[in-house]
Amino acid sequence: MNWMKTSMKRIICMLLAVIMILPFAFSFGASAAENISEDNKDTKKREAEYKTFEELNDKTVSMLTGAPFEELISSKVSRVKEFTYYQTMPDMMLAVKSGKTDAGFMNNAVADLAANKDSALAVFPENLGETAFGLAFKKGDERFSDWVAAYDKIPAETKTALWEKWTGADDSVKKLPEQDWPGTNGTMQVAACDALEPMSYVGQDGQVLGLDIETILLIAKELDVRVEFTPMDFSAVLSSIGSGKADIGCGSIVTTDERRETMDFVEYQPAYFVLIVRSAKVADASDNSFIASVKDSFYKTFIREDRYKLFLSGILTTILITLLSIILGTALGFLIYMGCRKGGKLANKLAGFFVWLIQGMPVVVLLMILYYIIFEKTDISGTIVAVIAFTLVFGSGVFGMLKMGVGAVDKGQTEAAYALGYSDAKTFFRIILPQALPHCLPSYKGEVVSLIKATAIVGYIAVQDLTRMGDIVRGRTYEPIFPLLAVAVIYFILGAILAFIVGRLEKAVDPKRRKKEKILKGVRTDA
Amino acid sequence: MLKIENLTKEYADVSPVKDVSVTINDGDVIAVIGPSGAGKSTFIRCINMLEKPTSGQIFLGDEEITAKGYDIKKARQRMGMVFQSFNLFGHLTVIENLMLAPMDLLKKSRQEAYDKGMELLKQVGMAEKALSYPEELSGGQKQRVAIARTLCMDPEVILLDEPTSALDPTMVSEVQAVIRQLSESGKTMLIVTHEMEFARAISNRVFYMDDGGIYEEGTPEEIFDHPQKELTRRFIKKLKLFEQVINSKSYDFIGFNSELEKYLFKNDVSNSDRFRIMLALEELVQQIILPKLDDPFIRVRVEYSLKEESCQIIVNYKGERFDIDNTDNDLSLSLLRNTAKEVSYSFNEAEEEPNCVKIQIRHKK
Repeated sequence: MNWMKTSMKRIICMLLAVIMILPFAFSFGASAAENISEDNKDTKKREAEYKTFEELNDKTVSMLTGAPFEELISSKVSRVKEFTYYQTMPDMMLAVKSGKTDAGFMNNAVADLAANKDSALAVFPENLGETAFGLAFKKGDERFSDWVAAYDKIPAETKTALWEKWTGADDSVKKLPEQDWPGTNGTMQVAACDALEPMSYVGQDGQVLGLDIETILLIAKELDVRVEFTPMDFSAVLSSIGSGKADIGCGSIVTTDERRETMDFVEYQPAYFVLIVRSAKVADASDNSFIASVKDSFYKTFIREDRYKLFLSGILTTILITLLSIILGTALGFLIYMGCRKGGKLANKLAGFFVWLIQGMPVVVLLMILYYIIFEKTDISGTIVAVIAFTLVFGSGVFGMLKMGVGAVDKGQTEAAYALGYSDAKTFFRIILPQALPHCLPSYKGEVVSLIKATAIVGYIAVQDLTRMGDIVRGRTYEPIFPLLAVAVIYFILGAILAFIVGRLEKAVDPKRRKKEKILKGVRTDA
Repeated sequence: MLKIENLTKEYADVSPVKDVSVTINDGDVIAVIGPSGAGKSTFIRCINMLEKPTSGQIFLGDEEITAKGYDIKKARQRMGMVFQSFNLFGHLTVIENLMLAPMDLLKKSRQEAYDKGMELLKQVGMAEKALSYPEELSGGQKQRVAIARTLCMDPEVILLDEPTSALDPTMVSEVQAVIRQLSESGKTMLIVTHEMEFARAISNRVFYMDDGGIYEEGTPEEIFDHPQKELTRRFIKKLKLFEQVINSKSYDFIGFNSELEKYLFKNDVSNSDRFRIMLALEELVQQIILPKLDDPFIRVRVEYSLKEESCQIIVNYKGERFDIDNTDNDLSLSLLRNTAKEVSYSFNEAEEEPNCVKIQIRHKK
């Protein structure tokens, strides 16, 4: 037992060392470009690097993946060098700061906040178009008109105050009112984006905050309706409305003609399409030493607003999904194998079809098919759907391993057992399986470690696992590197622990590693 | 003990066992011999139903084990089997290989199983290796353990399927010694083997199988010393046969000779023997018989015994009685006699080819 503890300790120590070193190594390059000084809040006065559309000619412009705004931009900037696309806002901000791209296309709420928080960024002085922020309803929902009417009753000065409160740099005032009304008119489910500050994001203790959220609360109070928020990835928000899993969707949703075809919007604030660019070079007097910037990153990523709790809950979700999928998947694979062990034609065809189906598509597609199509009308949580999906994936893997492992055991073993008078089932469990397992376990170990990494995609169906929590923290802090590295290191540690456990199991089931005393347990050998 | 009636095993394209009926008595030690592909292994594997017979019945004592719904596991516990490829359980030590089945199936205690196992390991000289794994043993040692494992179940019948065929020649004798010892213990045994001397030494009955059936059956003396039937005789003497028919005066002499030469080469006939065989045939057929026949039909058979390194030539031909002694070709006749230890002529009107010349070729060491 002792050596096991020490080797475990050694692994963890090594990984911790990696945690310590990597951020230093990586953030060194980036830290020069970063100028995070929270006292410089005067966005409007800060000079942008580019001031006219002319100056943006032959420059790279970026937007979020899937955003259809190339034509709009081209109508203003005649010669865009190239359009590039990013998955999240923080990624795009980082790309602007580090010079990978020159301008990022976004709405004014996100841009104002980013420029307020980060002196390296500035809002391009001209906007590219005007539209509105909206709360999304499914087309034809009869509650829609009540919500529009209720929003119109809110006085204009309240609306302006809200805007300033949430796009400001002062996080201390960003609090939500309690739902203290009785809620006699029922409960509405809200799918809220988890990483689009300032409109809708996950703040302290995993609570959903933002301008959208407070607006919804104001209207809900007016209508005496209670609301429940579920944080999720932006793409999951829109799918949730479409599939009826939520009644309202929010998260910096800008209304466009295309979106109006499938949804109704309570339009609550004018929105502008703007570009975020680097601020004009100013001599930076503040003392931003390397150590200080690492400390600052660490503080923002883990300590502020108790964000380590987000990581912890993400780790728990990841472990829960992984462990349940391993246990259920192993059981499933085993059951399927037992079903077709005797070589029944139909059973084998069915099993072959199952494996073909599951392994033939990317897991993320399987996950979304399960969540948005098969379990569309049910109330099953994303976590359970994720467990089901990974159970199927892992089960088909286990089935293959068993087939391979049993195939590697000589057929003569079965005959010898039969000839001694063993039944078919007893032959399998007493003779064949113990010899097949040592063949299976090395690949089993590999599958287990792959599985924990593969679960990183559950963010697609609104499950807040470790990866998603890393994204949420990045969305809040605009710290691109530190959270990513932390997530990577945590995956390393979790993977190492699982591999260690399976490795122990591998040794435990290997009959050739047994001690002599165990082989002869309960036998007097002196005779 | 064992009664087998009309046992047949058919696959889609071959029938390795055809309509075999035989009774095996208590205490019989039966050697099953025969050429490869004769169905010996399939026959013995049908007895404990490792191969499911297509039709026929097998009785073990009073019970019909081929009956529908019969629990074959019970019968298999009473019939041990030793395989050509040993099939020891690779994940268990030698002693566990012996203990497993008695504990699992006969519900013996660990101690009982262990004691019995060790006793049997001592008998086969493997007690020292009790805690080794099969992969650490030589082939002969594995087979001795496999025999001990079979004995642990106290079987009434032991089936041995070519127990020494997979062994290195140096290890055959250690396994044979164990089997010989077993054959003297009075257990009923069936052993498929290619080792003729061994079969003769241990058995009280011999089944010669050919073409899916028991072609001839008898005591070892009957089968090995005085086989009654042609195929048995050929097998026991390891006779290899060459047969050709000449039915035209202008037959392909060169082709015939090259076929014969190929056959002699294949059977490793020595140069001088080959020369004598070919000379004898040329003088006899080409020079003496062929000129005498107007419409020739000559059947030539050459039998070469690998075992005795002896060769017999039998030539039958149609037509009037013609004794080769009466030939006018004295030169050829004396050349022929020179090659042979013995030349004999007979005439049997009942046969289709009534003239018959038999030549025993002289063999020089």
